[in-house]
Amino acid sequence: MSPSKSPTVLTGRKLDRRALLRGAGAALTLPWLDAMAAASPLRSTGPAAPKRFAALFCPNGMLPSAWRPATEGAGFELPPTLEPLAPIRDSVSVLGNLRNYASRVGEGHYVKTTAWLSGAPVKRTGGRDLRVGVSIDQFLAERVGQAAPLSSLVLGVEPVRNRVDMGYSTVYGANISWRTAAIPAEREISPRRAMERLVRWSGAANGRSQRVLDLVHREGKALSARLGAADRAKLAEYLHAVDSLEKRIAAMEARDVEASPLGLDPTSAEAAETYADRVDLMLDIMVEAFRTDSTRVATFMFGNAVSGQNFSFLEGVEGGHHPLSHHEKKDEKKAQYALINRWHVEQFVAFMERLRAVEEGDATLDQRCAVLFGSALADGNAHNPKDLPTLLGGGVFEGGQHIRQKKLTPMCNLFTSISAAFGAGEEPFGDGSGPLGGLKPCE
Amino acid sequence: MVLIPALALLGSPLGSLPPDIEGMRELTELVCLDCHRGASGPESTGASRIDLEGALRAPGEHLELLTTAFAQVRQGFMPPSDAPGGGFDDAERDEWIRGVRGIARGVEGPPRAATLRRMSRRQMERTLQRLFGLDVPVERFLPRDASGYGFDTTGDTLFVTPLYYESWYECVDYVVGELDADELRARFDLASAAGVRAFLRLAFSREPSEEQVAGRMELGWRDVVRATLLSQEFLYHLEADAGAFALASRLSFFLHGARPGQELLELAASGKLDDSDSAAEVVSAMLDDPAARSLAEDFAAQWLGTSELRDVTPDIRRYRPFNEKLRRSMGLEVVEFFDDLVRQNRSALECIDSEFVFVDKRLAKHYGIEGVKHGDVRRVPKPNEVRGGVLGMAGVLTVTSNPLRTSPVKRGQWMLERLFHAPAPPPPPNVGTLPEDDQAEEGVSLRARLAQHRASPACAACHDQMDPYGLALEMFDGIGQVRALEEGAAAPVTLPGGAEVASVAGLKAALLEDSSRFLEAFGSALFTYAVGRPPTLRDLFEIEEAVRACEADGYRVRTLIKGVALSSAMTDARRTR
Repeated sequence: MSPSKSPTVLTGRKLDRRALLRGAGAALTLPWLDAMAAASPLRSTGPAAPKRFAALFCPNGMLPSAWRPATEGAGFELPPTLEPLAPIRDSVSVLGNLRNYASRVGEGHYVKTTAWLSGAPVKRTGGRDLRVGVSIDQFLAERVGQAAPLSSLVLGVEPVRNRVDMGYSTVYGANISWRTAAIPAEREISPRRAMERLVRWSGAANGRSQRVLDLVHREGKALSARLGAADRAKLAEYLHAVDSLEKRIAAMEARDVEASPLGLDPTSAEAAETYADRVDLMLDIMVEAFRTDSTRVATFMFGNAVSGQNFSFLEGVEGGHHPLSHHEKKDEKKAQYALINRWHVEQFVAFMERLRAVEEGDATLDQRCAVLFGSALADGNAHNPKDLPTLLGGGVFEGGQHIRQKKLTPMCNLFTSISAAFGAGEEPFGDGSGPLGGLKPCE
Repeated sequence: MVLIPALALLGSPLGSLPPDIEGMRELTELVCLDCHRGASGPESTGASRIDLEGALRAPGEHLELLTTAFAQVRQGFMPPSDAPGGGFDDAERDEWIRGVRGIARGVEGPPRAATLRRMSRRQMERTLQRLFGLDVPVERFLPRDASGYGFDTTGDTLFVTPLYYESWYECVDYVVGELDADELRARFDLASAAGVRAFLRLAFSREPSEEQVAGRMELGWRDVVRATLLSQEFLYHLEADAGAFALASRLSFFLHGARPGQELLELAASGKLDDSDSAAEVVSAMLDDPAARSLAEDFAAQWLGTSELRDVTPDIRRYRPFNEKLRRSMGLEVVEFFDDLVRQNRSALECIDSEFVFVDKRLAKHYGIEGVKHGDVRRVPKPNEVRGGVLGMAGVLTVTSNPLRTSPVKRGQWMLERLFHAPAPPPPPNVGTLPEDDQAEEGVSLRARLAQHRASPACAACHDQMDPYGLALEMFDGIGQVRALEEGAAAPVTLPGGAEVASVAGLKAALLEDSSRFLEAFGSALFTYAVGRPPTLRDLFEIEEAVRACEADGYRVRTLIKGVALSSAMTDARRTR
């Protein structure tokens, strides 16, 4: 029984909205699967189909007692928070005892959130000299993501707050994807803009010209050479951005695609009014981006660090996410916190099921994916980055296991395994010591 | 003025020092080091890790720490009265401050220049309006800007990512589509080299090179506009080798929130910004310009935190009067109040208390003012002593509350940050929190819970500073309405420093008693917004000078703004990067 007032995936309301999403035309009347099949994927070339990586971040931890399965290995019993995994449990592993050592200090949320995908130490600053580390998604984007129009798709729903908190710039709490140690990969939090962007890069070149970009790029390089070191370092961001836009336009011209194969209508995004609707749309967008091979790497933040998102829309919950995560060991609060955690797991399951519903060659899309789901701290009441709640779904790795590591195993060992599975290198990632024991790549 | 060579202060023992610095060193050893000895290891607490001993030994390597310590001592939060010898008396506090001043003169080199800034979304909007007379919905294209040190004018947190640039590219396409060829020609003749040059000068706030002009002469007008707006020289405040235009650009972004227009560039070219007297006249004229409203829209809303009103979610079942219109009115009160303050050149102390409020009919109802019928926000006399000044503004009181209750801690922290420029450090990990709702829980009131909290020494150091300020505002509910309080909640509080206040009026009186503390914080916030980095010790001393000038001028706000606008961090042409 689901505690959520919003219907689970593929029930009536969602299908209607999803059909609307698709906008005008025949797709309106088609069930989801048929509509999917009607739109021809770009690169569904069977065994050569590319691998995709997604990371879904939940703020504020997970109540450990409702999360941790009692037994290890296959056939473990699903605890309350993980019950929604039942229909896809064969393709998901629960990973236990992973920790992010560098995040143990600092403060409760920001350092842990921002280093979730890098394991890097975080510099305390209100702005100057931000420092984290390259995150695993951006590491993959750089090495294997370049073959797609967008090397990565970085999404969220909550806007960055305009303040310094606890001495930390809120840039930290709003970013899990870092392109360099000092520069985040900017998130898109508007579903409309995210859709417009996908439409833009999955369609034809639209007459965009390289000429103007050539000129500003040349001028930029010439000017940069005359400037001092600090300005030059800052302008490297700009030159990288121009370069990446030029490359994308060139790649689009080479692709020679007639029209958008995308099943998304950006104007429908305005209809997404509630938080749950926006989350749902963003996950749709990720599926579409993978399906059309517009990107191979994507991250999504259900909320920023310390998110106080009001979850009163769930039955049995009254209040905000962060306040309820401080349950003070009171049963009544723990129950509500666990319901919020469970809602997040439901969204993960819905995402996996949408991937599974897409056929790609002789397989389904989820089989080509590694989807990381979790939080950067364990119990929201204690802010501990040990035994991080972590799920790994999709067919890139074998699923169906509860794998507990020996205590204090670096989270980065998981990233080391992922890097290897994606052909991005076998060296230990971040503070990792090697691949994660017990986790087997398929193939 | 005797300059102390930096080397004389480095290394230990300190040797013979000027009396000021020697006195400061002694005071620090006697009063501060018991707690702040720079301990490390698992036993150390937050306080003991603060290495004041190291700062005495090698001040040049601990300038940031000394800056923080300076703010804490200046604002009277440190040392606490239970420090050895009962903390500092007034004479000792002055002596200590003089010593830090001496150290700063001796060891602080020229400040590292602020990080190169990209235009913020608001600056972009206004600049496009200035250039083309177009209202471009930039928000439709560009993501919201992050902020550093509380302001979206900090280069460190303004990135140009591939996503940002691509979004900007789309926005530029939109601008070009909106431009009317004839109207544009009336502004710039983009078919001639002189016209292109004039356009680039305005778009870049610097003299373009021959190559830049020539490169654009080969393009049609649409692509000239594209290539110019897509250039880094448009996107960033590139002031290096911009000559006289550098200060014009800094002043314009500070006071008008946009690139300089033709008139200011001409004044700069004619040398009007080269000496401080005529530069002060230019600043006055800029503050007369309606464009100075950007100070209210951008600076004040971020300084006072009401730019966050767009994100707060008061529970509408608990706070029935809250709705989208009221949210908007709350934000407008701050903007209209501050715009009026600057336009009329009123006393900066009206931020603490004023004889009037700025309300429309909705806010008037919220504040219990009768007879207000107008739908726009206007000045009306304050209804009672609790309103007037920023502490009685519903927007401020709402952004410092939780959805279901007030937060004395948030409000106290807000005051330390915004009104004293001395934020409290983060709490130790694994601390408890307060209940989400302020209905008494298990017979313990919120106030009592806070008191329990302060009983723990690890919490007390900061909460003794924060909580009293927040508790003094408890008569306002989570959306800034005056409320009936539970028994005991209205009891007097003792502020850091010993003053006892029993009401909001008493709190305002206490703040006005030592108003230079507030004015220095106000100046520091203006400085951070203007320069794009927080002030260093030497900058703080310049801000103090601006405060003295402001005080001598009847507290007129423009004198403070002017002091910051023409501080050396703004005017220094040697800002090498």
